Parts: sequence; C-alpha cells; structure tokens
Amino acid sequence: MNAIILLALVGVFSMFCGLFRLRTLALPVILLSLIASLVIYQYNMHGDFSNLLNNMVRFDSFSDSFSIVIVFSSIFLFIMSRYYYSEKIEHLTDIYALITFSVAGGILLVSFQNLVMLFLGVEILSIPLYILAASNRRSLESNEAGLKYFLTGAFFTSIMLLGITMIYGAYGSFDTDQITSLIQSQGASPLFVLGAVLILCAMFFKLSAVPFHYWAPDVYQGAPTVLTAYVSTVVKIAAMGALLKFAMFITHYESNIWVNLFTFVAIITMVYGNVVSIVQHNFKRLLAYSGIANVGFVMIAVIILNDNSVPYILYNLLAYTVAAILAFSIYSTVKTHTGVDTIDELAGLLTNNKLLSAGFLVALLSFAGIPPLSGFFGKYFIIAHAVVAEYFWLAIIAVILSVLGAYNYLRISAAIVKSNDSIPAIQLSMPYKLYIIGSIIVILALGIFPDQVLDILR
Amino acid sequence: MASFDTTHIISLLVPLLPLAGFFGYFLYGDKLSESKVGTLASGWVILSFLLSLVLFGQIPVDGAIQVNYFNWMQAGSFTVPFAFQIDQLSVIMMMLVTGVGSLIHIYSIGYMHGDNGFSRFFAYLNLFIFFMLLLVMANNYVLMFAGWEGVGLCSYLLIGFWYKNPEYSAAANKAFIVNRIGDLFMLYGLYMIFKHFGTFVYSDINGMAQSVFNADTAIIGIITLLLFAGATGKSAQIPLHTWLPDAMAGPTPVSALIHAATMVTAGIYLIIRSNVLFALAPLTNEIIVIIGLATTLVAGMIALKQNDIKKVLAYSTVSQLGLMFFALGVGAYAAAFFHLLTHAFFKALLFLGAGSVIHGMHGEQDIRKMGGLSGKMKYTHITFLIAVIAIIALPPLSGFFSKDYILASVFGKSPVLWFFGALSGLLTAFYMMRLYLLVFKGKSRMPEADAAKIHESPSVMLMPLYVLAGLSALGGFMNIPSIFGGSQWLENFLKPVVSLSELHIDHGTEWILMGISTVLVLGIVFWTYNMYVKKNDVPESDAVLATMPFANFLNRKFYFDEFYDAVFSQPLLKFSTFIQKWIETSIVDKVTDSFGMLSFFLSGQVRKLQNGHISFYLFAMVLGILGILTIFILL
Repeated sequence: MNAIILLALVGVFSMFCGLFRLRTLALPVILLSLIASLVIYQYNMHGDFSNLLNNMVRFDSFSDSFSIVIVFSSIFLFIMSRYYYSEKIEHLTDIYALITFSVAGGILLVSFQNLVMLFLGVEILSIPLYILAASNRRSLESNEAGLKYFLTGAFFTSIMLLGITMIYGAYGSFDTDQITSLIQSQGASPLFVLGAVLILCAMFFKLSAVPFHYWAPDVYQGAPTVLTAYVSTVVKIAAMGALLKFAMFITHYESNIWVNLFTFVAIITMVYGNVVSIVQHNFKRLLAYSGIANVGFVMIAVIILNDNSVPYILYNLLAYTVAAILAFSIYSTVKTHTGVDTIDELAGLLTNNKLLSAGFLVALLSFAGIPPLSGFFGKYFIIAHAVVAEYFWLAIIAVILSVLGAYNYLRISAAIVKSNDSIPAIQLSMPYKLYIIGSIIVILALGIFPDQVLDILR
Repeated sequence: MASFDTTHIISLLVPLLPLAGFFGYFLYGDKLSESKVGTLASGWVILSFLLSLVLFGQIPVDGAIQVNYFNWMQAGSFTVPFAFQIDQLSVIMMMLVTGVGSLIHIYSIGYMHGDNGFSRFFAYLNLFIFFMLLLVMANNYVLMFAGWEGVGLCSYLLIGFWYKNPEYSAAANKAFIVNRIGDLFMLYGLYMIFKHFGTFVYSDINGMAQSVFNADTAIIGIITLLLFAGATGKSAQIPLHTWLPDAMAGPTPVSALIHAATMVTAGIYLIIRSNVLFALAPLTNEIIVIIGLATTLVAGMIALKQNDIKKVLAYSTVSQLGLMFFALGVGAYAAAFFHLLTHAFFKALLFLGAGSVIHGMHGEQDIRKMGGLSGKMKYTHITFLIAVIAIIALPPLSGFFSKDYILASVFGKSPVLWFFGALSGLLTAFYMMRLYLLVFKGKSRMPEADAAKIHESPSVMLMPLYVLAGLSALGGFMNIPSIFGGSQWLENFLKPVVSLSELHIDHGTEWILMGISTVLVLGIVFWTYNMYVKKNDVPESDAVLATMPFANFLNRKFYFDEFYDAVFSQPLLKFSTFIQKWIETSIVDKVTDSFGMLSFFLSGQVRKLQNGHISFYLFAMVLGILGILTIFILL
C-alpha cells in the first residue's frame, strides 16, 4: 500500500512541477520513487492499513512479484519516454503524471481482493491510457487512436460491470473470500458462471486476446510510441496478473468451462497473432500482432495454473517487456531522426548506426527466442511447463507458431544487416547510449541467470 | 576445487601464454611493426617453453601430477573435468611442442617477412601451440579431443593461409575433411569408452581396464580400432594419408611445425597415451603393424619419384610416421616415442632447410631446376646435410639410434618384419640422398640470371637451423642403447607411463643387424652419389615420365587421389545432385514453401477484418462475447 500511496503522491507532485516550472525535477523524482517502490516490495514494507482497507486489497507474494515486475518495467519505460519526448513539448509533466497514476492502478489491479477493487484497478489503469493515446494532439492518427481506444474500452468497462453485478446478484457479495466460501457451501449458480465469463471477456479485451483484439493494431499504430510501448508491456503485465488472480478465484468452482475457454482463447490468439503479423509492414503494427501472439502463448501457463505458473508467466512477460521497450525506443529514435517508418525502410541500419542496430538486433533475436537471450527462456519455461503438465499438443502448437513468429523478427533483422547506407548516422547522447547498453545487459543477464531470476519472481 | 599451488599456476600458464598471443593479435596485430609482432608472438611461446622446463624439473620419479581446475561439463553421471596430467610423456611433448615451436616462430619472422598476412600468420601459429598443448596436457579424452580438433582447425587455417589461391584452399579443405573422417571414428571410440568405463579420465580408465575387459576382448578391440582410425587421420596413415602431401600448400614453417614435428604425431601420442588399452587388444596391434608397414613402404616408394622438394619431405614424413606406428604395433612404445622426438628434430630441420632453399630461390620448389646450391647457401647446406645423415640413420646421429631401436625391437618380434622395416630405411636413404644431391650437389640447372639472384637466408632464419642441427646430431644421446654402454635414459624415464616390457634381443644379433643396415645405407649413398653427381643424372621431365609405367605410377602417388575421387567423391556428388534435384527442390522445398504460402494467404485474408471502422470492431467483439457464451455456457 505504501508504494501505491507513494506513486500517487509523486504523480500529483509531477503535475505541480509543470505548474511551477520545475519540469526537470519530475523525472528524477519519479525514478527515485519507483526504485523506492521496488525496495518496499522486496522487503515487504507495505505498512499496516488493515483497518482502513476492509479487505479490499491483499499484498501477498503473488501481488509482490507482479508489482515488482510492473515497477521494474516502468523504470525502462520512463527512461524511454525521457528520450522520446523533446524537452519543449507541452504538458510533459502531465504525461509523466498520467503514466505514474496508471502504474499505481496496475499495482492495485494485481492486488485486488474485492471485485470492486478489480473494477477500480482496471479503470485507474485505463483512463490515463485513453488520454495518453490522444496526447499527440496535432496528429489526426493519435486522436483517432485515442477515440477508438476510449470507445471500445468504455464498452468493455460496462461488460465487466455487468459481470460483477451478476456475481453480486448470485452471492450478495463483492468479496472474493466470501464468494469462495459461498461457492463451496452452496455450489455455483449459473449467474456466477455467466458473470465470470463476462469479466474474463473484459480482461481478454485489456490483453488484446482474440476475438477482442481489434482495437490493438489501430491504437498501437496511431498512438505515441511511448504509449504503445506502455500498453503492450506494463499494462499487459498488470492485466495478466489480474487474469491469473481471477482465474485462481473462479477455479474454486470446478468445471471444464475455464480450461476449455482459456485453451480456446490461447490457441486462436496465438494462431491469429502469428499468422496475421507476417504481412505487416509497419513496425508498430507488427509488434501489436506479435504482442497478441505472446498473450496467447502466456495463456498456456494460465490453463495449467499451478505453483510454477506465476514465475514462468512473469519471466516471460519481463523478458518480453525489456526487449519490447528497447525495440520501441530504438524504432522511435530512428523514426524521429530519419522519418523511416516501414520495415523495408530500416534496411541497412547497421551500416552507420552500430549501437542502435545492436540493441535492435538483441531485442529482435530475444523475441525470436534465440539463446542465451532472455526471450529463449521466456518461451522455454512456458513450453516446458506445458510438457510437464502433459499438455503435449498445446506445446507442439506453441512451438510451431513460435517458428512462424520468428519469421517476423528475422525478417526485420535481415533488413537491418543489409549492406545499404541510405540511413545516415544518428547522434546519440551518452545517457541514451548507456540506456541501450544497459537494456542489452539486462536481456542477456535474464537469459544467462534464468534460475536466479525465477527465484526472485517466486 | 583443489588448492592452487604454483604447479597449478604454471601448468595453466603454459597453454594460456600462447593463447594470450592469439588474442593479442586482435589488440596489436595491425598496429605494431612486423618485427615487434613476430618477437611478441615468439616470446609467448618461448616463455611457455621455459615454464615447461620448470614442470619437467617437478615431475616425480614414478608418477604423474594431476592438476584439476574445474568441472568443464556435467550432466547426470557424465562429468568432464578441465584438468591436466603432467607426467613423463606429456612433459616431453610439451617441451617438444613449445621448443620446436619457438624455433619455428623465430624462423617465421624471416620467412614471412613482407607478407600481407604477417601478423595473422603468427596469431594462427600461437593458437596452434595453445591447442597442441591442450592436446598433450589434458588428463582426459574429451579435453584431449578439444585440442585435437583445435589443431585440426589451425592446420586448416594455415594450409589455406594464402587463401586467394583456390588450389591452396582446396588443399585446406581436403585436409580438414579427411581429418573429419578419422575424427568421426575417434568420437565413436570415445562414446564407447564412456559407455564401458563411465569416465574419460586416463588414470581412471587405466586403473579399470584390466578388470573391465578381463573376458570381453571384442569390445576393447573395437574401441582401440576406432581410436587408431582417428589416429590414421591425424597422423596421415593409409588409407587417410592423402591430405598430408597436399597440405604442403601452406607456408613452409607450417609444414615444419604442424605437418612434420608436432600435430601429425598426435596419433602416435594418442596410442602411447592409451597403451594400457592397446595392450589388451592383440588383433588391433596386428592391424597397426600392417597399416604402419604398408604406409611406410608405399610412402617411401612414392617419395622416390617426387620432384617437388616439399612433396618429397611430405612423403618422407608419412613414411616415418608409418614406421612409428609399425613400432607401436609390436609394442615398442618407447622406441616409437624416441623416433617421434628425433624425427621432430631432423624433419623440422629438413623442412626449414627446404624453406630456406625456397626462400633463397624466390619460390622455386622443383628439384629438377636446382642443383649445386651448396656453394651459394653454405649454412643451409651444412645443416641440411646433418639432417639428411640423421634421417638415413648413419651413426652417430640421432636417427641412427631411434631407427635402430625400432628395428631391434621389431626383430625380437619377427625377423620378417625386421626385413620390411629395414627396407623402409633403405627407401628413406635413397630418396633423401636423391633430394640432397639434386638440390645441393652437381651442376646448377637454372638459368644464369636466376642463379645470380640466389642468396643465403637471413640469420633470423639460420639460427633455428643451427639449434635444430645440434638437436638432430645429438638427440640420439637421449637413449643410448646398452650395447654402447648407454643407460637408455628415455626408456627408463618413460617407465611410469609405458608399463610394457620391451622386446630385447641379445647384443650379438643387434651388432649384426646394425652392421647390415648401416652397410646397406652406405651402399645406397655411394650408388646415388654415382648416379646424381658423377653421371649428373636428372629426374625425367613430366613428359618422359608419363611413358614409364612404374615410375609414373609412383609419381602419381599410386593413384590414391584418383581412386578416392572415382570411388567416393564422384558417386557421392552424383548422389547429392540427385537428392538436390529430385527430392529437395521438387518435394521438400515445395511442401515447406506451401506452408509459407498458406500462411501468407491466410494472413492476407484475415487482415481484411481490420478495416478501421470502430462500429465494425464493436459489432465483431459483441459477436465474440456471444460466441463464447454460446459455446462455453449453453452447449
């Protein structure tokens, strides 16, 4: 709870920074508070708010692990946004504040104990996103993306609310513990199943799982790249945490429905994401589809749902996140300086921009699952998980589709290493160089010490 | 991990110093001048040699030092330590590799002068020394195999050093591929060793060998045969000998270091190292005798009719290696090792001398165009002559002692084998005298203008020749047989490693045998002198040679290459072309391509759903919700 309070306060502080011309102060304070939050979670300094909270949220090892990954990933995101926005942009501190609020919402979301908090968490996480998607006010595309995101998002908010009210109708409570004990004593009512499926649909929407993915490619392409990076990484971690927690809750009602539903969604999401991505030419759109594919992939661990699911999912998401933020950042740097947009135009990036290309290639090869980069173990753990749980056919489908997905990343890599010097050398500032090198090191370190990372995430 | 004492550090430094030299190339290879690069590269190896001397002083009288560093690989019960075994055998090999290696490094400073790849050459040489040291120092088969493959790689890189010449690159490929064939067998041998012993460590295997294979001799026979097959590849024995003569495409110092003194003896080292296993496999030993004998005689005969100075020496090397295997087969391990050492000295000297001649003659290698060089290259001539006397086994130079030792041991086994061994010695005497006389004696057969340009090599090249000449002359005193009142130092020194009792014959017989072979060799010396100096015979030109069936047969190397080409390469090539055409492109490619086409097609169709209209999106998503509710709740 301390971390949520801290981040909310820092968000407010950041807004005031904008008012009092202290904009250079905002980012360092946010980064420091994120690091402080990491410390809070690592050492369980949540503070005693049990009287106040009335069992609305719970901080246990599950929420701690997810929160740590969310906060850790946001650090990369903030560093990226520092180099994405030029110093002169209006409302920079407001943008920082909105992201900070959203991060706090994400933490709340993975800690929910009461369905009301689930709803609140989703909203606190999402509302800043709608604004951010449209934050590039002079761009028609950005406005369109914001509006599309908002309309579809609002629609699914209502679906989720509908689901929550149905569960309330069935048991007369929002508290998951109470509902669980009522399920065990009274059995599940059909209303509960209906409500739970509706809530799951709303979560699938947040995760951009098929068939609720339509918004993702358009929003990814139109929105500012920082928002795209944020939505495809941190937001997905939070949403996946909520999904996992909710799945643990509803499986107290034992039924085939859940496994079948997750399996169905996982497979069509993987197939759809991987297949459609191969004809994309816009990098951001391509990553939207590859993000969709990865959600389906991660959902395999949700189907299995045992003690190992949490660390494996977190490892995969963390690996994906660090690489994705790096890739988005480099892409946006190249785009700002040279106007390059499609994948074909990236051809020959390596010739004059060694460091940018190295970072890009590491991120792409990590996506493709080349050892010893972290993406390899991200995939490996999930597939091994499926094999251990004897879901062999699921593992086989996942492997085949990973190969199909690898085509995309190798396609971009091949473009980058082409001998072509049409892209001029781009001047990078020293901190940005350090950021790229640091990200490469993190991607490598995650891949070289996977067991140690898993221990932290457990 | 065992505590780190000075032996640990020194043993680790011995291979690491040359490796540092290899990595140093990337730091200073382009920046420093030729002489500095050459001096540094030689310095690493010389330091390594000095440290080997220190280790030599530390060897306990009857035992080995095991130096453990860390577990290199571990998977279940499969463990491979990164550990060295410093014993009598490995320490002599280390001194040989680093000692001869240093001399050849120094020589190369002069020989490679002005070459574009000067520093690259030294980087490869340094890397070679590292891998060769790994090979001889390892305390288990896997680490040894790592070195084994490493020297193969360096050999490949150095044969094809002048890679712009396609013929040289082809020779490098040939060496690499032929070696892979041997290595494959060797790998199978290693797998079987692990299967039956559960370990790769020499000392464990040697301890268990007797009990494991007490009854079952077939399997140990197969294991040793597989190891020997690996050795035939690396040490160029029939049927895998064809790569070595072609390997002469590399710069001459490479031929001296890798293809005469060190790497090609790895096969012999391997068998001596595994002598406990080979002692249990009598059939394998008989096969080794046959292969070794066949190789030494065939290569000796081929050498009679070669006209390229390096080719003669290459076949001579194959022949001498065959002689060593011959000795191994009869169980004369110490004799084989003794000959390995003396051969390393005089053959390195012969190659370096040949290199000096080629250097002096600006690249000419055909002995028919030489002659009378003794006046123009005085020091090269004298050192070369010493090496020739050593290799044709005239007393008291080193080759005499080592070859005599082999022949005496063989006679103890069977007089018939002695006869063939001695025959090999006579062939050696003939082709070496022919080479020597044609190059240095007689009349000069080159145009006047060229003759004037011939010069003696610089002193940086001559210095190693002097040292090697000294070793070739005196190296035999390592193991003076008891017949001359010697103490047989080498044989006694190796006793802890080579536990077999040697075959000894009585002194009277030995005197007679020695006398016979020496007299015969002297006869050949006079015969060849008469032929090539007095009568000024010159080997036939290629056109004349083609009309002489037997000579041509020898000159064309028994048609081994043509035979392999017709029997293995061409059918394989045709088979591959067939597969490529009828199976790969017409079936496999089409099937796999169709998956890709299908994905692209689907992708193109499905993306049409993404039409940008938000009303359609909402509609589709509501359909999704309804679909899910229908499928999972109602049904």
